[in-house]
Amino acid sequence: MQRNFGSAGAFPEASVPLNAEADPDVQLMLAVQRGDRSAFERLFEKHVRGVVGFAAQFVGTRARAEELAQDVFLQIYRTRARYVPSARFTTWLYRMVTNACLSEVRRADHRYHVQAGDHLEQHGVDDPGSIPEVATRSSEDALLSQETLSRLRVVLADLPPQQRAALLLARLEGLSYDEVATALACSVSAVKSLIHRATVTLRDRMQEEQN
Amino acid sequence: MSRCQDFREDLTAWAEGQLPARQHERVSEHVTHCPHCGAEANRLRSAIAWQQHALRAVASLDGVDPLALSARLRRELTAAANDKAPAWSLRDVWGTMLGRLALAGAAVSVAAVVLLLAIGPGMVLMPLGLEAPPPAVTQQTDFFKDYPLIERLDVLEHFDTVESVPLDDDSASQHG
Repeated sequence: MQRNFGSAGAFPEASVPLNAEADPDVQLMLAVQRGDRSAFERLFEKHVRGVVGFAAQFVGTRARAEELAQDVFLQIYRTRARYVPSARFTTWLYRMVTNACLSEVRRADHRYHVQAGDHLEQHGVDDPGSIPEVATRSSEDALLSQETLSRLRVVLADLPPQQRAALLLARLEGLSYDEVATALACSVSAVKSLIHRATVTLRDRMQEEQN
Repeated sequence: MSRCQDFREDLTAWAEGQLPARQHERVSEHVTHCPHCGAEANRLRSAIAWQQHALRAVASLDGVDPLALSARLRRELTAAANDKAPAWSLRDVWGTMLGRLALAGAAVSVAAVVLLLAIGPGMVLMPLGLEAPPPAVTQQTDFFKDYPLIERLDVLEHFDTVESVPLDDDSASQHG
């Protein structure tokens, strides 16, 4: 299915005053534009895990998140001729990914409703591509119990999509507020508000759950 | 309290160092002097640190295999390339000078055809000698052969008016 994930060219608002050309990923993307397909594969392999992890917080299952990531990268390849390096590659990429995720959330048939009690049963056993099944396993992550992570997924899924996107872009992908604003096509002031509300809601809900 | 409300939404951005310098200074000053906001800022700092760690854990999917996905993408790209894509596009044609001339010529031709259809082909073809005039014209050769006569049609149109012009006084007295 062909979807449009927004502009593949320059951002309409030049709110990220940085030398995009210095970004090695931008150089790779420019190589892609010149027809270097191996550069595209390098970009894909570098970013696909992050994109799938981000998308999974919107679409619910890893399989669907992988499909979405695939679609976004295909879109990038197809529209490479219109690419203009006006921001960091990550900012540009996540603008497309966020558009795709928010479109997906808007589609009634892909709404991601997670119920606190049945999350593990619903997704962990029946769905082989589900998120809980492939949960974290690094030594550092082991400090966070599976139960805590499940609760966090539930609370995260309950956040309004814009707040969720802003929070994940900032905390997960390390985008600055300016870059989040570019990715979400909104003002920095709106991003400040979205992230603050998401942070407070997440904190308070997690505390409530623990108590 | 209202002052605290003014700063409340800035606290997260302040704790993350995302405010412009002057705004950052203003919030810092307030947080230093307001124990309530100071405590909230500390709670937010802890929450931010925990969320950064926990969200990474939530989103880190060990089952994702970039190489397998890359192979899948490669297959899709190959399939897409084999799709029946047009050999050329308007964008490509417009990119060359010859293409622009050809497109401009095509546009003029289309406009001419539209005009021809709008005003009727006879109006264009007849002056060029490509279409015979209507029978009414061909049967009255005497009337149409002399173009200056046609120019006088305007005068002839007013013939009745000319006739009805009242006679001047001299003529009237002679008749009288």
